[in-house]
Amino acid sequence: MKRPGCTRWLTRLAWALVFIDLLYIFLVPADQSFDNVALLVVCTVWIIFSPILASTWLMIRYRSFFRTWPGWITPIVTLIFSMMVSQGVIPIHQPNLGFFFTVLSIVSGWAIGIATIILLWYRDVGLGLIGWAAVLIVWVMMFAWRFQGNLMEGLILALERPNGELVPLWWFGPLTCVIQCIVPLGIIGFLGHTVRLIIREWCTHNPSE
Amino acid sequence: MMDTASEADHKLNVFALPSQTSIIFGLIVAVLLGTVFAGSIGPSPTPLWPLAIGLLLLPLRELLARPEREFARYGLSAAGDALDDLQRFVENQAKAIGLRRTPKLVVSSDKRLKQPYTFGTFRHWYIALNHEMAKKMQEDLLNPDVVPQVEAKLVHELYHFKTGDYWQLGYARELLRITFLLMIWAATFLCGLGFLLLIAAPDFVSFDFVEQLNQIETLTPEMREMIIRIMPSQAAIDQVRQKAAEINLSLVINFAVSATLPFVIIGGLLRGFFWPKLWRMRELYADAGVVHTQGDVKPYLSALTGIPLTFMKRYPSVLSVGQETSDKQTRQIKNRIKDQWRKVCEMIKHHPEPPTRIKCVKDPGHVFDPWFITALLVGSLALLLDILLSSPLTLLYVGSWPMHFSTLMIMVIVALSIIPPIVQGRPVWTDLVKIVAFAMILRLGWALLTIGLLVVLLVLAPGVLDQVLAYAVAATAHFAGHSEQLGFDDLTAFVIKAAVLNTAQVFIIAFVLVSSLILVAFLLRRLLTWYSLPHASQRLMKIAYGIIGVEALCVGLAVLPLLTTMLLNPADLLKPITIGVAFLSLIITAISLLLFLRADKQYAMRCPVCGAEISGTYRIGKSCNTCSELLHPWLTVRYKV
Repeated sequence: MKRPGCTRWLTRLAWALVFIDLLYIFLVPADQSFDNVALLVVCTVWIIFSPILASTWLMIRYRSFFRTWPGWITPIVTLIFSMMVSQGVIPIHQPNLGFFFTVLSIVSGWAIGIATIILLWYRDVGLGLIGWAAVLIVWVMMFAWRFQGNLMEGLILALERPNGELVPLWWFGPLTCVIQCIVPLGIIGFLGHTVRLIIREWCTHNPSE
Repeated sequence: MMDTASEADHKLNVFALPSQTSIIFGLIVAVLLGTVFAGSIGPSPTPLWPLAIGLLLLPLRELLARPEREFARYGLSAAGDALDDLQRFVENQAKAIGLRRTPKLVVSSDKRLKQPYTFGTFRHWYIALNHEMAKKMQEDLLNPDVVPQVEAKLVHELYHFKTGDYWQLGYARELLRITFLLMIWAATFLCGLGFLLLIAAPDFVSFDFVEQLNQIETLTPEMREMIIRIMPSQAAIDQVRQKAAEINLSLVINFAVSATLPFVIIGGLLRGFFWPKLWRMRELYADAGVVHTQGDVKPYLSALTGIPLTFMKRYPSVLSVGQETSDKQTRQIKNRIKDQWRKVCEMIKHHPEPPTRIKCVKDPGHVFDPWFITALLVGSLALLLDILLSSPLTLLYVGSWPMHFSTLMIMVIVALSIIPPIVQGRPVWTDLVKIVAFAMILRLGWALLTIGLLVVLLVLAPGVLDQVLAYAVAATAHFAGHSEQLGFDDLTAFVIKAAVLNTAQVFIIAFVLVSSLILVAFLLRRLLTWYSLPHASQRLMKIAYGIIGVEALCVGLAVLPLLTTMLLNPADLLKPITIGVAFLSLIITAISLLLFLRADKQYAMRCPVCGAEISGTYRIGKSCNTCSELLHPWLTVRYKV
């Protein structure tokens, strides 16, 4: 069990990491050239993994929010918005801001997984999530096919685009990310809660018996 | 103790007879799950058996999760040390009525919690009380004048555990809830899928994957080769494409609607009428438990009506006066209409009205429905199942099994419902004929209506009839997405055959039902004369259920399939499976009958004490003429009214 002091210390460290990352993203010029390859690798690893670690701890720390539906939806909305920016649906001409949203999309993708774990830890909604995720896929595909034409063709053509951009199929990335989180975690959550209920029912001693 | 021991004092022990709560619970479960199982028979494009297993097990899981939800909903917490006396009182009462475990008292300050209520799982039971009410009850325990009322209230709650209705109610609630959610999900999902197929199918049929890949310039030949290797072979793609081209979208949507609509309608009916009835019935059983325990109806009536016990003892006619006034009032036409309307309104209420409860407590025979209510119950459900599972339009295609499901359901429910009147010594032949006739009239009406429609369409618009039949067969016989086998070469021959066979089936099934039920009634009446059967209180009703079960087996596996096969497909009559199943069930029936006759010779018409012969049929309160020993005392109960 963690001591309260340790928790506070870790939380401060996580916020500090977030702050340093923001400083790095906004203060270092986006077109900065790296002469040293090792430095480039270190910076890239740092800018990807430090916000992931910080966000993971902060989400665990503030889990009372992330166990609610608004808390679960927050990283999804963040991912959708940041993907729209990084895929060029919402044009941004400030390169540092563009870089910020690219990093945010990576962190949001990870955060969706953490938020789903927290939600499913506290709420027995695994089966429901999987079911409604299937409905979401079908309807999104249907509307996309109706308004954006042949999806199969669109996805194959996306292979040709530079930078791997999926525009106009920008929604495909967030959707895949959400489904990839929901389906395995939903199944694990459902089975886990079932085992918990069975243990509580048959292995908990009832003093009145 | 009673002052006199006349025959009129013997009340019917409702707990010794088939529980009406269990029957309604069984009906809700059998209808919902039976619809899924019946729907999964035939060439369905989607496997429905996982749905059936899911619907069976998910409510069980939700039942285990329910206490958590109730605790969260009302902010319940365990009753603390301050309510120790009340908890001990509950413990003593639980032991007195023979409960295996004591329910825990849980309290809440939530204002929605106005009345005590019970919930729990198989091993964890709870009685939820408002905190103020719990404190008041504990204070009342110090006042000997009101202790019987507190006892009555708590014993009423404890009897929900004693009768096991808490888990039946919990399971049925979750089953209905899950069915409702599943239908919303299925409707949303299938609609989306239907539209997606509508939009995507032409693109999919004309799409050439290899050609598309070749157009991409950025791919190296090695990468292209690798992607092609990952993809299914051209032959497999062509096969899928051919199948996609064969899909008839209107048939798919038709299937989606026909697969979900039965659940929506049947679930709505069960939720609207049968669910409140389950609630009302469990309350009547808990009421009966209280008067059995206290040996007097007054404390419970006092707790129910709020009339002080002392006042009730001083003026014993206080409750019967109200009843008489009510009887006089109902003689007037206006009031009679009001009375009927009140009865209709009561059908959707979750708790029985106090007059009904008082009537049932004073005469437990009223707990059991009269024939008309039973007829309405089974008739309406059987008709719905007939319409939704095996419409006369499609009977020739869908096979005979769904018809058997509703017929067996009628048989079992009617057989169970005739046990109480048989115990009371009332004739049941006319009642069971009336119940079957009512259900069959509904079925005949539906068949005639459909045949009339067939004939009118045949004369006026044969083209429309062909289309209607194709869709009806596709919907009911699950030919969704397949256009073969739906053509009707000779419409006139089809209409004549459908008219003759459907009408014949109604009468044949009615005859089978009446004759088998008369046989069951005879055997049950005879069974009740097995006075010298050892441990009759534990064994007699089990034997009765065995008789009904064997009869259902014989009718369901031998009589009905043979008759239907004879009517629909005479060529299949000599199939080994048909003969084998029928033969096996007939053998089981014959062995059971032999065992019954043997036991009948041994135990029937003989006093268990003096061994003297007792003539005539059994009726409640009957005694031996020689030694005056009360026969089947476990079927009776005595308390002050």
